[in-house]
Amino acid sequence: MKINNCPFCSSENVENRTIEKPDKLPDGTPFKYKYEVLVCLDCDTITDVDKKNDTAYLAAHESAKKQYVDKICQDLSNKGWSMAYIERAFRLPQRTITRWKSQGCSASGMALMSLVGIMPWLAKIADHNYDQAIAAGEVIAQAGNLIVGAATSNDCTTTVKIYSSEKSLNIIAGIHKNQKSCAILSTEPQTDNIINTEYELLRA
Amino acid sequence: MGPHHSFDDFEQCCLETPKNVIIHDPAKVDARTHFGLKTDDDIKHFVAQKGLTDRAFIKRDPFGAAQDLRGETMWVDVYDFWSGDKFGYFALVRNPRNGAWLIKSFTLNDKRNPREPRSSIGSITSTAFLPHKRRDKT
Repeated sequence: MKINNCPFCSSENVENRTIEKPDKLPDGTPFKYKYEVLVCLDCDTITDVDKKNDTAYLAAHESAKKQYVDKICQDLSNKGWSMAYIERAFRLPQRTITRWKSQGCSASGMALMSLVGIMPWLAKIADHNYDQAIAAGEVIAQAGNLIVGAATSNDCTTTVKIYSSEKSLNIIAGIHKNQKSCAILSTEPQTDNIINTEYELLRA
Repeated sequence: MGPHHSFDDFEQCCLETPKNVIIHDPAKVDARTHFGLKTDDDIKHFVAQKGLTDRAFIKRDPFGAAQDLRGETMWVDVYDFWSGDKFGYFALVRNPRNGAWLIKSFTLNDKRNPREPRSSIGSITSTAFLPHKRRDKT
């Protein structure tokens, strides 16, 4: 259906234009989509009258998603995580991930793969039936890995502060990269009656 | 001056007559980029489900294009809102002649997020956490 009026102000002073937009998936995989919009020359409103933007975006996104899932699977394999294990740990039907790679996946599948891609150890928690103690232990272990990893890296500085008082013990760990703090454990303690001990992890 | 339009009416329209809600294309692209709302329907559904959390009216601005066009004043209501820890900016205007609503902006706020926590991943601002005694291995 050809629309000749601005849907907002009803002006007939409109024209069709083609727009091309770049976008990217969470890992930075780029993709482009092209669509037609209706530009109102009176009220400056640009509208996607036939949902052409949505259609073009979804088609481009769907296609890019397959590459994205494929890349996550390759990264996981390189780190020693097998797809068979991931499927079993999350109780997914066998060959689900293979199907996602070849046929694309749902938004839920994409969310799961994105999380597993950056935190593959979530599979361990799933494999233990989402046990809270296992989850807490894994989070602490991974936080420790992060701190040690940052302490030994050339572009991060790690600071660990331990504050103790009669009432509480607070451990604060900060990882700083390019003058930006990017991770922390614990919260800022009360400042009264604190015996302050500070440790700075040195580069290995 | 308070908002010119009833936001409750707007939410109701998103829910019941979404066809009367038009989304300015740059606003749609921003909503997609910054908030992961991919389509028109996603945006309208999000608004209808009261997704603009803790919305706060900021100001009303004249919709310049309408004034130039017909010499009549239409008002754009501007709001701050939160969605999770994202601090957003939302602007809408209604055409009284045909009842159509226009989402003019749906993007991240330029202003500093007043709720930015001092101690959470990726958002530490306190200098107490900055490394201050760098000791290189000798």
